[in-house]
Amino acid sequence: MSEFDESADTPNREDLRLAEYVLGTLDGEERREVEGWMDADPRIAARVETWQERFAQLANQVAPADAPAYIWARILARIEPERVALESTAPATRPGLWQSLTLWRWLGAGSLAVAALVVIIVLGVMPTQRQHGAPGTRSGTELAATIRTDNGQAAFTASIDASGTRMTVIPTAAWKHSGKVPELWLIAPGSKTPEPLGVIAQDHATVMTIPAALRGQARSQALLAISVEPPGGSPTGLPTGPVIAKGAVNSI
Amino acid sequence: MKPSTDTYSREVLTTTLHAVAGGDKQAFEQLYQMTSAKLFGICLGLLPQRSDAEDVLQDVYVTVWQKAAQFREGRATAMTWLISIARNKSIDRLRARGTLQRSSPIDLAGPLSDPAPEQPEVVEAEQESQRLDGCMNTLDPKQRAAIRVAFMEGVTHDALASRAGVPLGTMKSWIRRGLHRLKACLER
Repeated sequence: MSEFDESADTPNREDLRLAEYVLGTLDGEERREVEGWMDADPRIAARVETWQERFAQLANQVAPADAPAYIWARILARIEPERVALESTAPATRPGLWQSLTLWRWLGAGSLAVAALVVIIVLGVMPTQRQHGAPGTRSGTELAATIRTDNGQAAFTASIDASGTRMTVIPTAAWKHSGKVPELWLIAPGSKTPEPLGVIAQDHATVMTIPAALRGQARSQALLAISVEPPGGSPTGLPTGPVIAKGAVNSI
Repeated sequence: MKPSTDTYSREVLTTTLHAVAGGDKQAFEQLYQMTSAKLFGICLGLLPQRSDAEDVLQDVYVTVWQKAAQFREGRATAMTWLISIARNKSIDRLRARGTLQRSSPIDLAGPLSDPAPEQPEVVEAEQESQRLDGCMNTLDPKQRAAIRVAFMEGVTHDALASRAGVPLGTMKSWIRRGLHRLKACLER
């Protein structure tokens, strides 16, 4: 094929403009212009896609880089408010768990930018139940707690499902006690004795079944606390290390 | 070792993306696991500031969640669709940043051929995409270097020209001629 003649061949010039768009050499205004063409004409959008595919090989030569773990937590925090909006059984005026969790995760994530915290949130249970639950049934979360350190930083968030049997605990800050593990305790309303709920993960969500004996106590006004324990958890049934964070369970 | 994007087939990515379009959050998480390292690499390559790349990566996946239904497998594969979102958002952020673009000089003498890919390439669309390498090598070295830097760094004609120390018209012409030849070669 002959060399490109800039003075002629309008369709070709237009196609090269699309190529420049994909290549990334256009300025902001020019980019908006091309996007306008794409919106107006699917054939142009298709030609842009053709150029994107042509350049795919170059894109594949870019070295991958692992994104920090808190990115995923922030993405979830941003998509979850939509679920609140879709949750028809939740009165709009009541702040929902999802919004609260969103805030907490943002607080947590913001403070750990330098830390290698892994927040892999495995909340499959609740959204799935919401999606598939019959209209009018409340099978989602009913109770939640923010477990904070003495200086007010959210260390973990916990949520308990409507049946009171399943609790999800999510770390929201870096665990700084290397060689030690976090253990979760329940202190029933009016009680002073912590009941062990077990060791939880410091770097991703833990979904646990609340022991049958404690289900009645895991209610509003109960306290959740985290102590620092040796791997495997407290050998005594009571906290052996410092209690570094606590928070009250509240209905939502 | 965590599998890289390259080990996922076109079919798996397409199926997963369709599930995301249906609101399947587990599929969304799988998609993130499969593709985020590749997309983050692309954002980091385009954006000099790491914090920008992290912000943009979030925007990319929020957009994917919201717009997955708009993906139609046709000319572009699922991976190309994702890459394009990441590139477009990165380039827009770069433009919004204005002066913070990279300013290192571009060596237009460059290597005579593109370096060999560092890693095994995506199985999907292999034949099609490998042709690009061959066609890039048919370009004049200046055209090839300008196109390569433009793609990898998302810089404007203006910035390319000043970094290469040539007039704007010359740079535009190199790129257009390069793209024209590339297209002719790829359509052969």
